[in-house]
Amino acid sequence: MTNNQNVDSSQAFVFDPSIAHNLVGTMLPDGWLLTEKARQGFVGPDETGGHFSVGYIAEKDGKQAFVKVFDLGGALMQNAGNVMQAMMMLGQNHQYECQLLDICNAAHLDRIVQVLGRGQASITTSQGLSTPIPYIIFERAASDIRRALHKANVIEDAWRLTMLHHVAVGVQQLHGQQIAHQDIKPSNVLIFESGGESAKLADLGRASRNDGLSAAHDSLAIAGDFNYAPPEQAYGVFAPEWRDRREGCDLYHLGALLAFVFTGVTPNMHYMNLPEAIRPRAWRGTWTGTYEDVVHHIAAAFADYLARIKPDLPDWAAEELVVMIGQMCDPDYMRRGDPDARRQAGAPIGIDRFISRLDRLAKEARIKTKVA
Amino acid sequence: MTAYNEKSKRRVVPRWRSAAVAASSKEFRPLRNRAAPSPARDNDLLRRLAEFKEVPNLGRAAEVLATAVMLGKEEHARVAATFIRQNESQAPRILLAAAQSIIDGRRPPSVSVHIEKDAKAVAHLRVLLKARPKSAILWVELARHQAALGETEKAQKSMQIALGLAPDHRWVLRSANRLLLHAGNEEAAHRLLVKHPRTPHDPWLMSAELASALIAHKEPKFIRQAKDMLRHRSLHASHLSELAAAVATIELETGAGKNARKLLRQALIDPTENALAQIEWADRESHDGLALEPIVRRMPDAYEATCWVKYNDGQIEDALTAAQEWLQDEPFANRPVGMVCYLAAFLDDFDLIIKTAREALERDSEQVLHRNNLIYALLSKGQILRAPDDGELYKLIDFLKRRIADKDSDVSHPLADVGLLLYRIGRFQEGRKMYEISMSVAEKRGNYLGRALAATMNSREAILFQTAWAKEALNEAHKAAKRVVSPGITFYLRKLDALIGAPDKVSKILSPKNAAKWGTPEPFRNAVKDLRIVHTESGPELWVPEHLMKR
Repeated sequence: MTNNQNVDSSQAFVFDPSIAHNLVGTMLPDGWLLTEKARQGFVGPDETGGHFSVGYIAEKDGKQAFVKVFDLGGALMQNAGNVMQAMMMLGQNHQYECQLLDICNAAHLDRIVQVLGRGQASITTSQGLSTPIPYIIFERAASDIRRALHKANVIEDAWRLTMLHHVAVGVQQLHGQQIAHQDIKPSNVLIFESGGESAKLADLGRASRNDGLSAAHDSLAIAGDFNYAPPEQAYGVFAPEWRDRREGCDLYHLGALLAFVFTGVTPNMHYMNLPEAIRPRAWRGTWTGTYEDVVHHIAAAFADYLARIKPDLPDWAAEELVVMIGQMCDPDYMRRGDPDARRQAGAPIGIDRFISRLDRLAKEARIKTKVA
Repeated sequence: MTAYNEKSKRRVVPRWRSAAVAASSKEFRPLRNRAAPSPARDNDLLRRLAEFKEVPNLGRAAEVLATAVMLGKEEHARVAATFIRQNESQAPRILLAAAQSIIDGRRPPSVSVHIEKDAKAVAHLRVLLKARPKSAILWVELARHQAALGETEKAQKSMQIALGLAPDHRWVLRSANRLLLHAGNEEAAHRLLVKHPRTPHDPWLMSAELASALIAHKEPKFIRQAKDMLRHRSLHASHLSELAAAVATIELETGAGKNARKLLRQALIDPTENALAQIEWADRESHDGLALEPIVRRMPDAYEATCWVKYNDGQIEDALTAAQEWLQDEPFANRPVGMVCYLAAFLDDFDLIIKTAREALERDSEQVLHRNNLIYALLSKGQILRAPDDGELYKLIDFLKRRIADKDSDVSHPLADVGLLLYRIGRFQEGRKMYEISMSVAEKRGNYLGRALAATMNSREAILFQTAWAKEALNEAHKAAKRVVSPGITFYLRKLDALIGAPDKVSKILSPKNAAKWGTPEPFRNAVKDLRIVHTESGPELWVPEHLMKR
């Protein structure tokens, strides 16, 4: 329907709700040509609202990029047909993410996916209708970290630990800029192959800032993906401290990612085996009481989880990895983090210490590789 | 017969079940509801399935599995689960197990806590606690298993740690209260709740405080607040059930029967199984006819109440099954042990009594009830008399001697056991005499149930050994049984009536396998189930329904 459309940013706005899904062949103002959709099949709006985008692969001068096109149709569905509200929300989201990416670019955060361009195009369809399309162009990754999950030898252990170390550095870089990612999950950890493999964090669409500026999703109990949300968020807790509420959430995601790349099973999946009566609605349960009254049960289930995943962790590092996952995913969000760091003034989560521990384990694995 | 006083008092002490079971119980529900996020939407699963189909790998398959499980749509993850299964040499074991569950269409068991029994559970819990030493639930679970192993002091230390970690947690507080009561530290059990700031606002803690006060012979501190809370009914009926039963118990004992009956009916609106057992106990005393059976049938975990309802109905085998479940539910407690042995005795299932009593004595070797039950079963089975050299017989005799010499206790039971021993070694006259002394002692203490039990056992022995006084002894037993309401004795006398007519069929008549034959006949149960005691202004009256009047 919209193949080979012309771009004319001067035309008046007329809304086409399906346009974001039909942009293959479109040339963006920056000269990038959208060559294919990044994902096959139907991609609908996320459950948390406001997270409406469609991914494309783009080409320019023989280089490839990933383009995130903001999806007005999805936003409209979320806003019950209110076009103006949907437009406003989408514009705010686009602007918010661009601001965050500007901060990242200015600070040269090398573990965050780099932005190559951004803007807004007005697409004219064959019917003569015109629709504004905000977009952001990112460097294109070879894959994401989900490919890492399989039984591995020590060479792959070294690779995985190195990638996790990169992710932890990315988290630290964001936290250093008073930004919390809020949606760290396997599909948002991209692997790049140029100049040796490295991992970077992608998608700041659900991130939060601690500089007084807030996004619409900041008021939600769960800003990121429901499936990876820390338990306190699933139970509707809004921790008063930024450190516990946002940085603690990132750390939980990092711990879950660490468990995922070795075992394929996150704590949240295990929590689905808790009795329905004490699971929150977000986990298809019926619990309506306080988190304090169930956190002890979750801690017990978490202990069970750690015991069950241990045999799937590399023998030589299993003890330490269990301790790390235990500290990163502690269901008690006020204790989550490195215990020594938590005892310091301001009770930081100690991301720097986890970085050191992951770096040491990665180096140890590389030494074992050479010995082997 | 085994020692168990079916007329003993009952208090609404907190149940102490495994954490996984407690988590699904009414006791665990919040008093007030809070808002929480809604569940995720199906789009997540659709997106992940599309991603998996685009580039199938284990990581994407694992995400499909996790999302499907989170959404409760496991059937949509079969394609991913099958992929994991096909790549099993590369898949982590825990992921493979999750995939297999989905392929098999079964849910993994609840993971709240480990429920295996006793020593294995203790070892496993210690492993978990090493990883998560600050999990109060794990400490409570450890305490429960330690208590079940008879390690009461260790259990109390574990519970102390749990209380330190979760000092305001209702279930932890109630479990600690129950453990202290189990350990015989009634004052500390009461003090724990009296001093706790949550108690005056929480009906569950309040009911435990009232029960503990009665056991510790203290004045209940929160009786006024409890009555106010019950009157205002500002909380859901399920939260008030045990409190209403606890206050009703106090009212019954202070003679305020009318109030008590009102409260029992309030407790019945949405009862816990513990409240139901208490209501059953109160109903057994007052014969109010609260029609508990349909409610009991709806509550699969109401083991104690089911046991008593079945027992009162003369269904001894079913009552025993429920008592065994009750024991499994509270493996540290003495009352279900006593009930299992008591009921097994009516079925002449001596092996079960021996096994149950020995296990209980491993936990608590000083427990007289369990020792008495063991002696009765060993003597009744007779094996011990055929191998007297192993020393156990002499230890038992020594125990009986010490018990009889203890002037402060009810000696009717050890005397009856001596009577049984004398019968079994061929000194029938002396055995009869000893049973008669036992009956007389019980009579003097007003223990008519004990008297009837001794008479019944004397009758059994007289028939088994075909003594001249067998018929007379059976008549005496029937006479004694008329003075008490004991479905168990009624059941057993039916067996003895058959036995005296056919002494050659002893192995058949007294076999546990044939017990069903001696239960209360179904037509009779149905005919009398509508009988009620109605409490009127002028006092209690027996209400007989019209269909029974016509008979």
